[in-house]
Parts: sequence; structure tokens; C-alpha cells
Amino acid sequence: MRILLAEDHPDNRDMLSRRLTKRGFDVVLAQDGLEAVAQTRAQKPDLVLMDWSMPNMSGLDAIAAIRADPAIANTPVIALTAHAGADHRDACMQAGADAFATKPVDFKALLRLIVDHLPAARRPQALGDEE
Amino acid sequence: MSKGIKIQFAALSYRTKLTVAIMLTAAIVVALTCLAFLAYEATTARRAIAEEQLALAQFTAQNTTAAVVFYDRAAALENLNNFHLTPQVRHAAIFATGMDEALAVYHREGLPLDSLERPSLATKSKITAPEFLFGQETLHLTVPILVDDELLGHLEMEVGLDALRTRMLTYLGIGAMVFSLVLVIAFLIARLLSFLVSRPVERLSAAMTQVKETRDYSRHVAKSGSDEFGRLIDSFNAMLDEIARRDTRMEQLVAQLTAARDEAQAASVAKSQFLANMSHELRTPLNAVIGYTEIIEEDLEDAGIDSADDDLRRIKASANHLLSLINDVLDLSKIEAGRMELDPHDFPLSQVLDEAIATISPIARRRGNQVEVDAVPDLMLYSDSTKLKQALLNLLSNACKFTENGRITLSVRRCLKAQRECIALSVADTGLGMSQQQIDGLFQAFVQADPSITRKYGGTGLGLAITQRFVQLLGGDIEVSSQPNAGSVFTLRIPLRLDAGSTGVGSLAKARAHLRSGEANARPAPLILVIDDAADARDLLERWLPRLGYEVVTAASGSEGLVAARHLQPAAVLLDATLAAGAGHGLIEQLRKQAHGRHLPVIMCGGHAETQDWPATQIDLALVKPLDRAALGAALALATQQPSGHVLLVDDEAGFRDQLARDLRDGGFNVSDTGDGATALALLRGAPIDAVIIDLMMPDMDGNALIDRIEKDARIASVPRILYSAKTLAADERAHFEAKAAAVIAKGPRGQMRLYECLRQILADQAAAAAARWA
Repeated sequence: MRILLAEDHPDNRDMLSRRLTKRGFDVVLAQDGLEAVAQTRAQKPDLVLMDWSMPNMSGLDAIAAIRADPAIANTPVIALTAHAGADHRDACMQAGADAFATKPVDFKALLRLIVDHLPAARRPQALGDEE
Repeated sequence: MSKGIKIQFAALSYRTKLTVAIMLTAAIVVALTCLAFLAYEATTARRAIAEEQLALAQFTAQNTTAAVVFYDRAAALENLNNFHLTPQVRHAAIFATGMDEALAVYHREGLPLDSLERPSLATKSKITAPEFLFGQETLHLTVPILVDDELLGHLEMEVGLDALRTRMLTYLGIGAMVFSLVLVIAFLIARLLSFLVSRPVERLSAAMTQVKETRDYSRHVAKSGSDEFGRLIDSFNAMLDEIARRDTRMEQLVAQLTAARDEAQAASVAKSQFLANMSHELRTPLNAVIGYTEIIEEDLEDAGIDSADDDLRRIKASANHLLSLINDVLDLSKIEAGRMELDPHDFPLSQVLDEAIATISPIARRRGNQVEVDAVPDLMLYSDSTKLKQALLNLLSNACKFTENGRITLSVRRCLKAQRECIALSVADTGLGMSQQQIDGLFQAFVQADPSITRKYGGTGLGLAITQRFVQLLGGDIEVSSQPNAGSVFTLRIPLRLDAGSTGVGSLAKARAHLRSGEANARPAPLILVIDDAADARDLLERWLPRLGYEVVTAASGSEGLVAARHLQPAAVLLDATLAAGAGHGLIEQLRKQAHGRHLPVIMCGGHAETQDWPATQIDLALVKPLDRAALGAALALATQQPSGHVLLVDDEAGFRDQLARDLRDGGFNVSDTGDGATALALLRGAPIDAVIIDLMMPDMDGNALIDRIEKDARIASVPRILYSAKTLAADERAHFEAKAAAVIAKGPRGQMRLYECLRQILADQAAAAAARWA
């Protein structure tokens, strides 16, 4: 199970990748939106966790770019943001995100979102026990 | 009657009134004059005639004396016959005293005989002086015939008054002519005079009307003289000036106020923006703090060390408290923008107090404070426990902050406020206390009693402001009593049961805001209220309904459903039969009552037996569980009256196309689909299609080319096109496609809802146009 984690904040990137790796995910990292799109093309992850505010290319633009590329357009994307408003959620959804999580991340809830949005065939059985 | 005339006269124009007054005066004067003249003339003429005829009679009587003395009839008759020279005399007769018969009688020719023929004056033997008597048309004269004062006989004479009547009639005619002439002259003069007098009034009146209609207070009325009207016009002009001056001043004031308001709004927006940004900046590092704490916790757990490590737990608790504070800062900005959301539910009061005391106790201990709690009544509240706890914690932590080595007492009692049952929670401390001046600024945001307090005791100064706003949201109030160095008592009172209607139920308002994403050319997706106590059934419908083009809100109980129905006004309700049976038949009735007179369709979902047992009059449709998605879509389309039609879907991505076509079919549309532009054109030409959904990026013929081809073919150029693409469009591209298509929608979960909204709007418009054509 390969997850691309796009996050510019080093601590948050390190923290989340460690926790996901521990759960058995193959975590690929990206530091900004451009890298996120490039890595999605190169690594074909099963799912993308995309931070909203990143340098060079924002998470929203990166999501749109993924959706615009037919080769990777079907990759599920969960948007992460420290913005808490309902309008931000709408903006993420409009850009093409499949789901939305607010920072600070409730890790269990995030895992559940990830499981829900992984393609059914690739859904790990073991993760269901997290709840 | 007279009242009617009065009203009619009152309604006449000033000018007509003047004319009538002048003419009436003239008419009365002339009429009276004429009448007086006629009366005087009549009297004078009659007297003249009487005297003239009497003289004639006396003259004749003297001449007849000899004839009477000698009873000479021939001489007497000769004397009488002289009367034929005076045509007025009609009859005359001479009588001798003691004779029954007249000595001589004269009758004017052509006149009928009258009583004079007979001796009528036999009884008048005593007559000594001439007499006359006016009759209807005649004057009757009697003259004695005397010789040395001895009465020998008398002469009777009857004179016609024709001449007098003719004369009087002539006078009357002249009088009438004069009267008419005077009236005509009076009318002309009145007209002229009233024109002179009323013209300024009319001009003033016209000016007033114009000012009233145009509201142009800069107009002036030209002055025509210095009489009363002139002064009136002066006053009117002065009044206009004053109004114009006030208008100008008011405009300036409004402009100033508008500018001030805009400034204030801009400042408020800036503040909200600042708060939102600050919240964002604080959340990012907090994410790492909480995440790493959890990593350590997990590592300890993995290593078999008890994770209930106090230090770690405190880090986590503080991080969470910090998070809630950040949320509160956002909350405050939301409250001030009127966007605060409440989440009312049933909970025991003791739970909130226990949690608050557990949180505050360690803080209190650190400052050597003792926390005491009075007996807590065992009460259930219907309110927002998070907000109540936050309010209480704010009061308790304030008390701890300003008290050292003292006592903090939390007491609870029940009370009444505005005839509603409330609880009063008091937090009393033995700390610093406050002066009246400090109390006055207490509840203002970003204000602390003394700036030095921030440095000494920390805090943002938001605590009490948020507390007060929360308590107000919960329908309550907060009071404080304090004296310097004598501690403070904060008392908050909130109703036992929150009246959702009076404060606005927030969690539902969120759902409402979510709904307002539609645009002008879209028919907003109907909101369906799902009431089902089974979580998996709610989840299923929450996933299905948006795919079928319906917004969804769920409720787990009848009471929750009623609140949702009241605040969200759903288009239809999907009601679980088992839940409905448990809640009783009144539930549907009450649900319908929330629809404010509109019919609220209720679709019952349940087993065969359950739905059939239900009275058919109460429900609109029944669906058998397990639900069939197509049947659900059909039932909802029927219940919410969605338009339907034939839609062509053109997308080269087969998997996506199949999925969307299935969704649209279940959503109630007749769908044809194809992966290439050439087939699409053939389909469009082959069958009547109401709308076509086009993907932009396709091999061979892309969406843009397909749209161009459709536009160039007159037979199908009128078919509305919706561009549904995953491509992010630049502004100019977007404008280009918006000109060519009915709608441009980005693919995605919200996009599919937009697609439904636009399709339904297009079909509804077509149906309306068709109806108008046939009407």
C-alpha cells in the first residue's frame, strides 16, 4: 500500500510518515505541490495525503493537476489543512479532493478515512481493527 | 342632502368658489332692488289710478245733480255716455235715493253686463263720501250726489285695471332683463377677479404638487406681489430652502455614516481574517506536538511501559486545551459575525461539573487554592455541554488565576428567570477582587482589567468575553459582584432546556450553509431528511442520495428529525417504519407541521408488513427495505417533483462514464452514453435529446471540437451542453466555454451535485417553455 504524503512542515511530515510507516504503509514523501504531482506520476501511489498550504504549488493546485492528468486522475486524495472553516472544506472538495481532514490530525479518524478511500481490492484487512 | 352639497362645494376649485360668491352677491342685490322698485311702482300706480278715476266720477256726479233732482233719465244717460272717451271705464250707473232701479246705466261696448244693472246700492243710502275698492281686475268707485249736503243719489263706476297690469308686466320684463344683464356682467367680472386672486394660489399649489412628486426641493415659486399670497410664497420658498439644506446635511451625514460603517466592517473582516490566520499558524505546530506525543505514547505502550504516564498525559491535555483555546478564538470571531453554532443535546449536569473540576483541580493546587463544590442537584439539561463546560472552566480558571492560597467555591442552585427554569452556577473566590471600574470593562473582548495583569497573570483577555457570549447563546446571562481585596463571585444562569428556536441550532446551520453552493443557472438540489435509528442505514443513504442528486441530512431519532425539519425545511422525508411505529402516529403529523403549510412528502421505508400496515393517508410513498437504489431515486423524483428527460453523456473514460450513467439513471434520467464525438453526433441527430454532458479531454474529437460541430448543425444546435471536465480551466478558457455551454462544471463529488442541479434547471426550463407554447 503506497501513500504519498505531501507536507512542507518537516516535523509534521516526519511525524505522520513515522506513524503511517508503523501501520505498514509504504510512505513516499513530497515537500511541495510540484513534487507531489511529480511523485504521484512516478510512484503511482494508492492514495495521496495533500497538505493545503505548501510552497511552489499549493495543495489545491496539486490536486487539480492530479485530476487533470488521465494517467493518475483516479488516485484518491485526502486534503489536510490547518484551516478549520466549512468554506475551506468546500474549496478542497471543489478542487477534486475525495476527503478532508483538519489539523491537528485525529490519527485514528485519518486512518479510517484512508481505509475508506483506498481502492476496495487493495484495502488491507488488518486496518479495520484500528477502530 | 345639504351635506352633499356642502361637500360638493368644498370640492370646487378656489377660483370657482370665488366666482360663485361674487355672482351670488350680485344676483341677490339686483333681485332685491328690482323687487323693491316693482313694489313701490305698483303702490304708486294704483293710488294714481284711484285718484284720477275718483276725480272723473265726482265730476260726472256733479254734472248729473240736475238730472237726479228731476229724475231726468235721458240727461243722466247722456252724462254717462261721456265715459266712452275714457276706455278704462267699463260700467257706470246712477242711482237716485229711494229708487230701486238705476236712473241710468252705461256699459262699454263688447263687455259683458254685470251687477250694476240691478239696484245694488239700495242699502247705501247713507253714503256721504266717495269710496273706492280694488278688486281682482277692477276698481270699484262709489260717489254720492249731493245738493246742499242732502244726499239725492249716487254714482257707481267700475274701472278696468288692464293698463296697470300691462305696465307692471313691462316693469317686470325690464327687471328680468336687468337681472340677467347684471348676472352676465357679474360673471365676467368675477371670472376676471378670481383669476387675478386665485392665480398665485394655483401657482403655489402646482409648485407644491411638483415638489411632492419630484422631491426637488431646490425649486422656487416666483413671487407675484407682496400681499398675503406673496408672504405665503415667501414662507413656502423659505421652507423649501430649509428642507434642501437638511437634505444636503443628511446626505453628508449618511455618507459619513456609510464610510464609518464600511471602515468598521473592513476592520471586522480584517480582525476575522487575522483570527483565522492565527488559528492556522497555531494549529500547524500543535499538530506536531500532539502527533509526537501520541508516538511516544505508542512507543511506551509497545515497550510494555504503562502509558498512563502523568507527564505525557499532561502534555497531551495541555495540547488539547490549547487546541480548544484556538478553537475558541475562532469561536469568538464566529460569535461576533453571528455564525456561532450550537449543538444541543441531553446530558447530566454532574458530568459537566465533574469534568470541569477534574480539569481545574491541578491548576488550583499549584497556586495553593482549595476547590470546594456545594451539593450538586441531580439534573438533566438540554443544552450545549461543550459551551457550558467552557464557560464554567473559564470562570474557574479565572478564579484560580487571581487567587493564591485561598478558596474557590462552586455552588449550584435552581432558579427562575423570565418564568423559565434555570440553573445558577456560582464561582466564588477569595482573591484580588475588582473595583467597579474594572468590572465595567470586564466582558469586552481583548480587554483586561489592567494591562499589567496580562504580563503578571498571562491570558489573552478573551476568556470572559467568550464566556459571556456562550452563556448568551445558551439563553442565559452572567453577573459579577466583587470588591477590591474581598474576592469575586461570578454567577451564570442558563435555562435547563435550551429553546433551539431562539438561539439558532448551529450544527444544522452548518448543513444549511453547505447547501448554498448552487449558482444562478442551477436548480438547487432538494434536501432529503433521513430519519432512521440504524447507523448503517443512515450511512448508506448518506452515500447514495448525493449520487442521485439530493442533499441529505440525517437524524437518529424522531425528536432530532423534528428539529432538523423545522430548521432545514427539507423537500421530503425518508422515514424508517420501525422508528415511526415506535414514535407513534403523531410523528408524521408533527413533521408535516414543521413545513409551514407546505406539503411535506413522507416516504416510509421498512419491511412489507410494516409499510402496508401504515395508514395510506399518512404517507406519500412506501419503499421496501432493503432499499433498491433505482426505486429510491424514482420515489424521490416523484415526491420532490423533479423534471426528467433524455440526457446524452459523452466521456471517453469508460469506468467513470458507466458509473455516472448508472447514477443519472437511478436519479431519474433517461441516459444514452458514448465514448467518442462521432457517435455522439449521430445519437444527437437520431433521437430527441434534452441535454448533452461533454467531457473536455477526449481522443480524436475533443469536447471543444464536439461543441463546435453541434453548434454548426442547425438541427441540434439548440441542445443545451454541459461541460463536465476534470481539467482546471484558466479564466479565459472558462469564459470561452461558458459562452458555448449552458454550464461548465469541474468533476468531483460536488461537481456531480452541480451536474444534477444544472440538468434539472435545463429540463425544468424546457418544460416551462413547452407549456408556454401550448398555453
